Amino acid sequence: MFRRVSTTLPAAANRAVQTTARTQFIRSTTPALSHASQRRSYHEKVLDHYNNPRNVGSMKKDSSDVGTGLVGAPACGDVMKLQIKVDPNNDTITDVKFKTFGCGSAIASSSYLTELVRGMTLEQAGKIRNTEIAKELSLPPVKLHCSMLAEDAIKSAITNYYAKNPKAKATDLGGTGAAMPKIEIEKLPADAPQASATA
Amino acid sequence: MSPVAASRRSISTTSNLQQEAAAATAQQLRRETVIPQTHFDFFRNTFPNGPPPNAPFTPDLQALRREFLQIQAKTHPDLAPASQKRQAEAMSSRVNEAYKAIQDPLKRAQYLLSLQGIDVEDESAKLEENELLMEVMEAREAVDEVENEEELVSIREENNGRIGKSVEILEKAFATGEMETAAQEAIRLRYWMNIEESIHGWEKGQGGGMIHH
Repeated sequence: MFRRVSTTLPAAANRAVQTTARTQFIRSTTPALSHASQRRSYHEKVLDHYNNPRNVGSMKKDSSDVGTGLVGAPACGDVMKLQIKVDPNNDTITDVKFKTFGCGSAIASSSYLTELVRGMTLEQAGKIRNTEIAKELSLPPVKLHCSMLAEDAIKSAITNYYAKNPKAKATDLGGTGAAMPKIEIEKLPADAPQASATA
Repeated sequence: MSPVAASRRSISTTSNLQQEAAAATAQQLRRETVIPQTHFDFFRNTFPNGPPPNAPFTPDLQALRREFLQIQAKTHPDLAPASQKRQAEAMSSRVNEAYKAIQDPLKRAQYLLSLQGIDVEDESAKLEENELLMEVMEAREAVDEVENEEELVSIREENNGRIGKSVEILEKAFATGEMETAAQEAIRLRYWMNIEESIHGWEKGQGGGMIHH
């Protein structure tokens, strides 16, 4: 342990002498500096989504046509909620809302995801890879996990929708013989009047 | 010879240290701490028997701060002779790092877990513990929806309660060596601290503070 410290610290100390500022010296010996510089180098697309997040909000999570995904990144303490409204006739995502408490990249990833999945079928949305999100937002490697969180969120929302509507998954509705199993869903919840009031 | 190579050599070779009478600073610290193995070893008065479980998870924070300041005063780079300056600065920053890791309950828990080979800071890890996430989501939304500082008070109190409870669980877990419990609680504490940060950064009309990391 001490050996490791003795060989790595002089380099840091050398940097510190150049800058002379004491606070910077302290930061230069911890990983904090690299994080700090990452923060400053957010890509403009990230900043755009961060400053003007798309589709922020919530839907009724008890509605049978709404799937909710709630995921978190324990390392950062981030939390992300993604909700999809699905048209049961064609399994298409007709509306999306999200709420993310986390860093700029996590907010941008989920914001972009909402734009991406609107209009997709559940099958298409389930195939979205985090790399698509990371590429669009030019996320640096240290922020890739934010795009993974977004991928987890949409998968979790789809799973939740299928859990509420088991028949939807059994019948492949991708354009073939549709519309039939939906009668089941109508009589599902006890709080139906509430749900239909908003629908 | 570059300055880096010079300072590296004078730290790592004992004979060099002995030759230089002015090398007191680093040597003295080194003797006192008997080659620090962990962050805790720097603070021998606060942790005479080493880290938890040989000490309570929550140390006497005032005593820790006092000891930290004493060490920093002794190893202050300004007091070191010119030839030892860089070395003293390195030592000083090392002590700083140790203090930062120990004085904060979350960082202390994460560090103690890392000493056991448990990584709770793995960024690719994900969490689908709905109950916890829902509580966090609701708390963060509540902070966002607050309209004045008075309303924040009860939210802060509630969150301080969460933090206090987590610290209690961590104290018990580290005392008994239940690392799995400690790891889970460290994650919960991470979320509570983020709520705390958002309360701290709350601004009228802006909602909760943005968290940078």
